[in-house]
Amino acid sequence: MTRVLTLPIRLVLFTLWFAGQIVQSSWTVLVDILTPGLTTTPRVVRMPLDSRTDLHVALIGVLITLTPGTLTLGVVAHDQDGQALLVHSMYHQDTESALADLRDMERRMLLALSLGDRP
Amino acid sequence: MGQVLALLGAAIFVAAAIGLHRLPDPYTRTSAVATAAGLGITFIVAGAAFLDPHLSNTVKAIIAIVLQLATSAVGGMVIARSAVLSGHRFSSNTDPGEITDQPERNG
Repeated sequence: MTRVLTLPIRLVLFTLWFAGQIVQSSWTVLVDILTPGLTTTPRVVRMPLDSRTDLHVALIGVLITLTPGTLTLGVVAHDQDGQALLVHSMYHQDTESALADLRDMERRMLLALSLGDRP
Repeated sequence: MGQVLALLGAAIFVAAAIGLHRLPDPYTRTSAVATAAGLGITFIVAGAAFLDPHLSNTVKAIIAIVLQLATSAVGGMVIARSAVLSGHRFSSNTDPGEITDQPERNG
């Protein structure tokens, strides 16, 4: 019950956090584009998802694409019943840091959206 | 306030256009531009709402922004996915990582 009551608060907090992320990464991209030379280190990473419902998978894909510098390329099957996203990232130095950032975003999204007890 | 926001949005579009020209492959271009366009529209619409702030205008602006963000993200994903499927190359400094074993690659 408390989780239903706190849902709007969690949604607002997540929206604010996400807006901050967008501004921050937009700034990175804009500065790189408008200054001489490109500092991109593009890579494609496979991100196993904790999300189980299609809605959550679609939502995390959209959120990743909305963040400038990262781009969802597709959803692939992972293990038995899980799914993974293929994500193109422009500014992460290595696969580990890219995955850490993406998983952090997914964790926050699930935290903001979950009803009832933790899955 | 409204004019500043609208101008900021226009500046973002200019930067996105420059990025379209400078970035090396379809993936980085989509990544930078699809979202920059979403952000630019957001600023311009928000600026227009600030110029004439009524409740109905605010509601319309929020609806426009949400729809624009959602559709530009989906559009960006579709462009990127079709680029992968039609075999466009990643720029030479890309670490392709896991993409090589994507089963639909040759579909």
